Amino acid sequence: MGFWLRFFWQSAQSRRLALSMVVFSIGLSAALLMTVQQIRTDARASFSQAIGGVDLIVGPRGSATDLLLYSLFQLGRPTRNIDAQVLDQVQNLPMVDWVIPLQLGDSYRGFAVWGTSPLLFTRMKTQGQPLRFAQGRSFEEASRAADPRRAVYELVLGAQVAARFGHALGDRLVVTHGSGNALDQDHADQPFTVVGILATTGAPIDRAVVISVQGFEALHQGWGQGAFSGFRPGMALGSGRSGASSGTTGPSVSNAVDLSDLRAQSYTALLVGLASRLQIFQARDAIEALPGPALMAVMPGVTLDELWQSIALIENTLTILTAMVALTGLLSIAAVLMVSMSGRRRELAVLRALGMSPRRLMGLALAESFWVGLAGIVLGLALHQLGLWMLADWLRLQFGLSLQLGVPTITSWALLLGLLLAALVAGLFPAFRAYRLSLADGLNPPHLG
Amino acid sequence: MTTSFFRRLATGIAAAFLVSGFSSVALAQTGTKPATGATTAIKEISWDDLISEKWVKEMQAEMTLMGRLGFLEDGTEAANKAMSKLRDKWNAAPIVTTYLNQRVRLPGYVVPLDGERHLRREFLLVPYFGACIHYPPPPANQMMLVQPTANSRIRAVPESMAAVWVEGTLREARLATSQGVTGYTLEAESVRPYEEPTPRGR
Amino acid sequence: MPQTSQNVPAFETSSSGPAIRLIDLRFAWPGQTLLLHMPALTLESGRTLFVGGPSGSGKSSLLGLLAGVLQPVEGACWVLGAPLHQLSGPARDALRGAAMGVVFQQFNLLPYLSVIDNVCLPGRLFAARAHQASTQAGSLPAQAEALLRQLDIPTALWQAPAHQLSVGQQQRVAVARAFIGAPRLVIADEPTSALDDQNREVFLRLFLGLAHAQQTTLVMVSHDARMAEAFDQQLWLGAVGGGG
Repeated sequence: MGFWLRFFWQSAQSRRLALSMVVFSIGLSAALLMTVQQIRTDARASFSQAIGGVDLIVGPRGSATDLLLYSLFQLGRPTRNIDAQVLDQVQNLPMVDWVIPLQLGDSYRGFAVWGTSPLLFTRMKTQGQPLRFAQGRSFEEASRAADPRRAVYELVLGAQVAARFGHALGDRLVVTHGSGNALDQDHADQPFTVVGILATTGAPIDRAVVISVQGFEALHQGWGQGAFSGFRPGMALGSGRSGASSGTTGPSVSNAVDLSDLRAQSYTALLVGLASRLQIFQARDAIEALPGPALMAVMPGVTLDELWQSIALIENTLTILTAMVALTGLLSIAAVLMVSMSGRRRELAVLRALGMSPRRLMGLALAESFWVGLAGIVLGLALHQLGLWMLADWLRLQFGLSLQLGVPTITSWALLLGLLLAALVAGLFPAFRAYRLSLADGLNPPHLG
Repeated sequence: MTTSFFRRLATGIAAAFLVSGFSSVALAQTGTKPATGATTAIKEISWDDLISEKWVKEMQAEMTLMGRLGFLEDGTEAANKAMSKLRDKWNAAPIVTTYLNQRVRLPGYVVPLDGERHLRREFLLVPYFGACIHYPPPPANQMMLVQPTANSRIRAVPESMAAVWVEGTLREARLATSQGVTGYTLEAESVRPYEEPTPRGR
Repeated sequence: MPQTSQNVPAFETSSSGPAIRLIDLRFAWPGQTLLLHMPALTLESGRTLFVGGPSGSGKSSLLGLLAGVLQPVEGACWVLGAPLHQLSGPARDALRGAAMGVVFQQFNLLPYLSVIDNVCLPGRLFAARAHQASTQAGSLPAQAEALLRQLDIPTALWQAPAHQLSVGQQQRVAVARAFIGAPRLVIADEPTSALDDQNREVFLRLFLGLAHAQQTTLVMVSHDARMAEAFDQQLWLGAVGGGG
């Protein structure tokens, strides 16, 4: 047995340049197939959960899909906000039961910060179930809190954010304005305290850092008005456990600030719940008819389905493209192996002289194609995992796509098996050539060189 | 806004009449499987059965009246009042009680409500395609809130604008408005894709 | 694994009787005029035959027929008691692998395998050869080593890849490979044509010596008539056919 391993290995070594290109080509195709498959599956998972329990999303008039994407998935940017008083106007409509404001624009280490009211945690649902806290509690409404000044800096983490940085209750976090680039100013002087961590939902809120509206406003006190204190070098970034340095006091709004100044001026969007869903069309019309700048009330289910259909189109296109890339790769493999077979006529003649029939030689060539295909697929798996590991964060930030690393799914294995079979089919060409050549040449192949 | 709304309303009402004819031709009574193993039989109904003749005649009268007021200027107070009166009547369309608390089956189009694509998402069932985008929404007695339960037989996620058959128990929904208006809800037993009826004689 | 499950060719070869018997054998390449016509040729077991003639006279085709790689157009070709003209391709290949050795003019070896692996190759492919080798020398590699020693291949080179050896050394390794597992017939197609005079002498001496020692039937083709007298029998091919 050791002899045959040596035989295959040394035979391949003598053609290692051509064969490694073949292996690499198969590896690329395999990695591409698996990555596209993964993105399909994960895109479906990421975008099948937006938000449940909310009947309408209100924003400035524009594209409904854009509003859904930036308000719930934090993809793209809002161009305008809506005035704070719109919340009261909407709340006063007879068919409206509750209104939750949503403020966006800040980030914590690449994860979006949501400014909202504690109602979010009681009204929002995922899979028909209300949100659950894995640890801790919601932040309090500052107007109702026992210590309003401290309540302003309370913060709740989504499950993925907590897991990513290993945060626990009591940790202090610093929030940056804007997209979280190093150049953005950060509010290093106003660390927030984690009071709650949500259980995993599969919805975008897993990737959210949630604070109160007052907290959001407190962040921007003095922003753009020259009173901003700026970045203090030497101030530690990131979190630290609530340490002895701050003692029991913790960060709180300075007494110089009047809490009533922390009222919001504008919101990114409003989440609306109705008394009865049967009145959804009336509610939409009533909201869009409110005086003031033009508003849009979006039905999240309808808009999500539209988004979904666009994604389905893209993923089908991606799949077809990937299949064509794989096909191209396989064709070139067949070509490379066929050419290299022509160069092996001497070898074939030697083996024929030793009693191997052309059929057996064909089998030998096929066996080699099998090992090459297998090596390519193993390489592809490795490339795929490596690529995922390197790109996971970027994909999450840019596209809201949450990728699962680890063992490939059944479909992925099926795809790989298909690729291996296709490589074998491609290997039939050189194998058959080996058959023909060895039969024709017999003991007298043409001289080389 | 007013004239365009008026036109949309007129189209909507015309659509409502068309629907009654439409439903008997396209979404026709095609022999579907009878209910199996149920306590009471499922009755197949049409959207016509959920609307009262009396209300239709009232709306027709209103529309004729509106037509005579066509000389009203857009944006004048009189025009606005007439429009909102019409709109209120539309939204307060009374329900028909004949089939309440019975098991029924009828076809319609899906308008999903939750921003979640899971099997048991709630949706509105409406009689015509494009109810939320291209045409004004249907009157209160020509739509129903479909509420699946944990036991509902649903094999595919109900998609926006998909045509489906729903089966379940029809109920009255009390809406918390000043006029004490009501609407229809359906405790769904099953939601199935709507197949084209095979033409007769084939 | 390529090692054949057939230990014996498809039928019995008889160990008595002539090694080779050709009766009215004709051969032509497809679509071409008659190349070879042998009315009769008999070669007894253990005898050596020299086949000479100008190029184009069909010498290599004769070897191909004897090896079972080519099929005659007409006539009978009995090799080692087997009717090659009636056997299927795989059966002929199996007979060749189990009972014959072949030496070419050059490029006999697989360049990427070691010398000893090259010599053992027939035994790895056909159990009959391995079995014979073990019977005679204890194990397949043992007989390989013995043969290499007899053919003056230094021990240091045994594990080297074959392409590192000189042409003369490679030809001698090819001989070792041809004789491993005691085949009953060895055929050689111009094995000395690529060698210089001195190497040719050495080669021929060793080659014929091994054949005589093992009582192997030997058929060698060459255009160099000077070597003919060292052989028991001689066959000269002319433009078409020839006599023996």
